[in-house]
Amino acid sequence: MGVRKMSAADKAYSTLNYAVLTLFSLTALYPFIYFLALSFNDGYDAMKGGIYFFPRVFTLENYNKAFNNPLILNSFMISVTRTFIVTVSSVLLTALLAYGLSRKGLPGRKYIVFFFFFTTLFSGGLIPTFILFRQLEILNTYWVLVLPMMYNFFNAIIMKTFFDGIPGSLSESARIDGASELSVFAKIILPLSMPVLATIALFVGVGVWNDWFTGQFFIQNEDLYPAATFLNKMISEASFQTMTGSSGGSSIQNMSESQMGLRGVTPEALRMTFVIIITTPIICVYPFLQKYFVKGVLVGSLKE
Amino acid sequence: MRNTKLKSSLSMMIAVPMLVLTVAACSGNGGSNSSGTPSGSSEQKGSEAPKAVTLTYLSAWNGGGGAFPQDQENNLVARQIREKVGVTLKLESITTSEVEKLNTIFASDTVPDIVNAPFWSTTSGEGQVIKKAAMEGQLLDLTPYLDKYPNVKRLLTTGVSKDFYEFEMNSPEFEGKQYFIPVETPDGTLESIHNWNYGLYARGDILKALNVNAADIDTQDKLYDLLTQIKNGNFKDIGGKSVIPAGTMHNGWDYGRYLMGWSDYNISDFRLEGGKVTHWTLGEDQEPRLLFMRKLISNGLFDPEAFSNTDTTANEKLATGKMAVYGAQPMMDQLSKTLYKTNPEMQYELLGPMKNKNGEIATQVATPGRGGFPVIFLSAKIKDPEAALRYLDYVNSEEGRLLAYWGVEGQTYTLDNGQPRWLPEVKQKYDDNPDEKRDEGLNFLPGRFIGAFSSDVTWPQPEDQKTEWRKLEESFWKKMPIKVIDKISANYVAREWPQYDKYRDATNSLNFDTEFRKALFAKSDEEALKMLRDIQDKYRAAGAQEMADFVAEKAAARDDIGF
Repeated sequence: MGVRKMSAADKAYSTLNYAVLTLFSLTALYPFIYFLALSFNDGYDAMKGGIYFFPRVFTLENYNKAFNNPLILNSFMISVTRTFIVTVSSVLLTALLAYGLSRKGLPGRKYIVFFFFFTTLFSGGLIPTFILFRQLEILNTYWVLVLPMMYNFFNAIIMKTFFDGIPGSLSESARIDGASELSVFAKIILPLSMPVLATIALFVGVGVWNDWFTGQFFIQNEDLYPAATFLNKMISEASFQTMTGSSGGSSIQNMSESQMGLRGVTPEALRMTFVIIITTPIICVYPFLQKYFVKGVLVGSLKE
Repeated sequence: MRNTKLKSSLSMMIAVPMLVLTVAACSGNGGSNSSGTPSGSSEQKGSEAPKAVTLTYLSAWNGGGGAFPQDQENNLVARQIREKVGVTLKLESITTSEVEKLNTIFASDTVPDIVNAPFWSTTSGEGQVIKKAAMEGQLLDLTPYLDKYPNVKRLLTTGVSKDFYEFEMNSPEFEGKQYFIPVETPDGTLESIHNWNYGLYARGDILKALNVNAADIDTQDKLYDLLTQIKNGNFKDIGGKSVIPAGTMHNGWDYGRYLMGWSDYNISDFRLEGGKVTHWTLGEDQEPRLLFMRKLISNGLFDPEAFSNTDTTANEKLATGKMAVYGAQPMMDQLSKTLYKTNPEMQYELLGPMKNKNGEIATQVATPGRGGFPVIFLSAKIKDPEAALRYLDYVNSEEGRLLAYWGVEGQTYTLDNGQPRWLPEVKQKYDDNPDEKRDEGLNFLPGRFIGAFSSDVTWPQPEDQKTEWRKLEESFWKKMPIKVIDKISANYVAREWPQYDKYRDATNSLNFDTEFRKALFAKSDEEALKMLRDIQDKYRAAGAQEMADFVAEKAAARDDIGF
């Protein structure tokens, strides 16, 4: 049996398809390339515009400035550990909840779901949240970076919906073989749910990695700042100094004369650099998770 | 067997993250809330050693922590201050909205011992939030302490405009209590008021090519003629593209410079026109201002993107010489590092100065003191207010200011005829890496703790040490000297108008400038004028003219009210 020859229409469709998808990929990729080029370019030279793909006046000063602070590595450690802990525990806890809610025999299931759902209709707002955390005594501690993010009802609903789609006869047959509820969950449901677990892990992981807000509002100790908060702080401070002069005064008078010609680091260039720094680790993780999105895990799992 | 294995695996899955979490949480330096508490050891180092106290300090300025040294407690300046007054500060800054942070600390009752925050007015923004907190008893009344701390007491009046002092800092609602310590205020001399050099700046090479003397361009008509000549001259930016005859920095800042021919020396929202007081929105000059700007735009003389320029696009236009004329400050920082480096012949020159409606130089108008500034206030719950005031009093003494700006004599600077000068090796070190200066603690005090003072006046920079850009700035100051009006702003009189709050509520959602900008791009002059009159009618309906009449009546009864 030979390979079917593509018709002219198929070829045209395929070419168009590739062209559109390539264009789409480029529109997603280009901002990153642009930011990369600017992050390696002298900040004041970049003010003149005209940089599209490659740096015009190459410099490492932006990265030097970014990594010059001894706290930056500490902040990355905080981010890495926090992201790992929250992602693992959130996926696990959310999966347990979702599995429970997906069991049709759960007494009062409707009311339990409504109870969880109802709380999502309202937001406490910043100040009540701040007061709550203070009463829990987690303000300005590592706990505030992890505990509030360990559960998310929206994710639980996504998982529950996925679990609902797994044929009940699979778990039935496992139970007939003597498996307990926990075994069914761990050995049947979880392995079949890798796509949704990976998706939720990605949602949570990216969300936690990029979250600067928690560190900003609920942490005063810079040693506990996650990377996103720390980088945001550096950008704000650079902008503030540009506005007011380095000595906190209000004009060129107060600016050290030496700073006028120094380094070529601008808040704009720092911003580009920080975008690259903060997104690179996430970009590196994507390829490892991607395979789960395209796998059809249920194919062939059961013959009825 | 399987079940046991499964259970142990699951247990491990839960236990490991929890263990890591616990270890990480415990290892964090959390829970340090030493707010206001003496730093454990309130030990006395001998009978004269001051009590050792650690106080928390919040700089409630978005990004304000940039001047903080990396080692907050053991930098050169902090060590010296601790030796003198026994106080160590734990510094905190924010990188988000000032109002949000202030609301959070007041609502959650977590006010640090010392706070520095913006205080522009008590009727809006941060000032309103701070005033409310003061009236709710969250701030410390400084009145009983002031006589003991003369340097702090001096800050309350020196360099503060008298209307701001009377109506904002000493609002009757405070019942005679003093809560705020102004900082970053001038020392009371004219020289210490900062001149921002707002004006119109034109590219030098273009003026030369047109054989135009910058100083001659001082009226609206001459400005229009110049812009027309520029448009017809086919001038290029550094990339070889046509220039824009007239532009501004981001968001149209400051297009008002093109309209200075209708300006006056004003310190309030009210205008005295033909013997009648009116609100600025209803001024008779609004129509000619609108029509002039429309003429610039419709004839292709003004950048149509000026009002949507981002900071980045505006800087790009500036750095490439794209704007033949721009209205704003001299932008020396950006230009000296970009355009002036590659194309020094393009150096911008100050036009005029432009004349105002009375034929006088249109220049910066100021009251002798500053109205609106950063303030320091203390938490009502501070355990050792004397320590905080001791700290502030010291850094505002002559000795403290020298330490704050220059460090330690013999170690970082030397005195030459009473004037501090950096030691050469120290200057070199700071020039090579300004972060070194910051980390010795030499940046964070001047901006946020010191007031009623001008380093430029007290320690003028020797001529031979000034850069060419500094000299250029100073030449602009001389051309546009500040106009000082020693009067109370009529805005404060307006607050006494019984309908004032109602007027404020009614006009809260109105934005005259936005409507004015929209009218600039209307299809016809008639339509533009209609848009202008519509917004004026809304202000009129809200009571703007009645308010102006009230102000006029009150102002007639005293001679210290300025419009």
